Amino acid sequence: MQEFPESPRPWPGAQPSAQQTSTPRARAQQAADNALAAADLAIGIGGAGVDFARSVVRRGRPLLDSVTSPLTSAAQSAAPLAGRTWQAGPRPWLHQTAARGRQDREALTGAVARLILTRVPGLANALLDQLDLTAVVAERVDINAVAAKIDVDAIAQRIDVIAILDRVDPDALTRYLVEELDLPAIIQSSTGSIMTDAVHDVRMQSISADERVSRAVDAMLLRRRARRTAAPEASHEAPPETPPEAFPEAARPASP
Amino acid sequence: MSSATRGLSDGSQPPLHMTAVPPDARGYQGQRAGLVSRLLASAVDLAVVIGVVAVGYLAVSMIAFLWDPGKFHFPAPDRTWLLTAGGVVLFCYLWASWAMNGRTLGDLLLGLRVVNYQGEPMRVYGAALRAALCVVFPIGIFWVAVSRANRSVADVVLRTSVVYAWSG
Repeated sequence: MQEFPESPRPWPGAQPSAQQTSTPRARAQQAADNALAAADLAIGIGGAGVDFARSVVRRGRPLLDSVTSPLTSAAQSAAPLAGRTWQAGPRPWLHQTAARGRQDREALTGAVARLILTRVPGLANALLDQLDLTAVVAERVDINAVAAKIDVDAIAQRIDVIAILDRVDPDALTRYLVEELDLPAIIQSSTGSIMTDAVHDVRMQSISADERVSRAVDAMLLRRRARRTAAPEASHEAPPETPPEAFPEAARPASP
Repeated sequence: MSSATRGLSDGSQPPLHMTAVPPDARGYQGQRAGLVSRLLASAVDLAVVIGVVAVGYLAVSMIAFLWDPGKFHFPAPDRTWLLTAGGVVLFCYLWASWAMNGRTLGDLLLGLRVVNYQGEPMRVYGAALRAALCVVFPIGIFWVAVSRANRSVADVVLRTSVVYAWSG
């Protein structure tokens, strides 16, 4: 007969202490313990029933040959169980049954856990192969909320900038920047802009000086009418073959 | 022709001209330039000519050195030679500049252009006549200050104009 250790868990029927029932949380814990103990008891009863059935079959088989005393054989087969069960009263039998149920439950739990640990990695890999995790994360994860919880300052404090700079080649970096930024073009563009502004200023100041000189000379010559400085504009039509005047332009070659 | 493109060429709207001239200078474009602008342009041209003469002098000196280094000494041309060389260089410079695009380097810097009586760029012979007149009688530029039309003596004689032309 298998010996069951004494259960460390109090029997649900025992009177709870005042501390255990003082708070709702303790009462909930007590209820959970009771439910677990009841489950253990049910498992134990089930196991005992199985053992009983086995013993009935094992012990009752010789008696099946005798058709005259089936009730006696059945009583004799059940006698050890009945004796074991009721000799110590109902409460020890319940304790033993619950302990056995707990052992069975723990063994079953361990077996299930081992089965899960054995099978889950392969199942997980197969499942992950069928999923687009990137799409799942993009659809179901609030990345902004996750990013908002990141302490960037703490990360920055952990970065060793000196170590990073030690790995940088200043010459290569400088050469890369010069090549990528096209500094000569930038300098040329800036210089061209500065030159353009300078030329603009010189031209405008010279125009202003032209006007002042003209006004001063006109004032000295007592002129009252403004100068006629409008030059003829170039026409985009073909020039006439015969010039309108005797010496129309200086560019026309002298006739031989 | 579609209606969209027909509207562009039927003359109902004035053509759109893109110009790089700043707004404050657009009103002066096509006007005859005054004395100061033309003197500044002439000064730049004179500096260019002096530079060319100096380079020529150094070139002659180098040739003399290479020819006989033992007896080398810098040539000392008299004033007549210098003025003649300068005059020739100035004539060639003005002639080529005005005949090509109506601008010398000084005109380009000051935004000026020499045009004929039609407002068009000068031709080869006209540019040569004007260059010769400017070399022989350079003081004629001061007539710009007196002329009511901002014309120099060369402009009056050859019916040319020096106008503000910042673009083109």
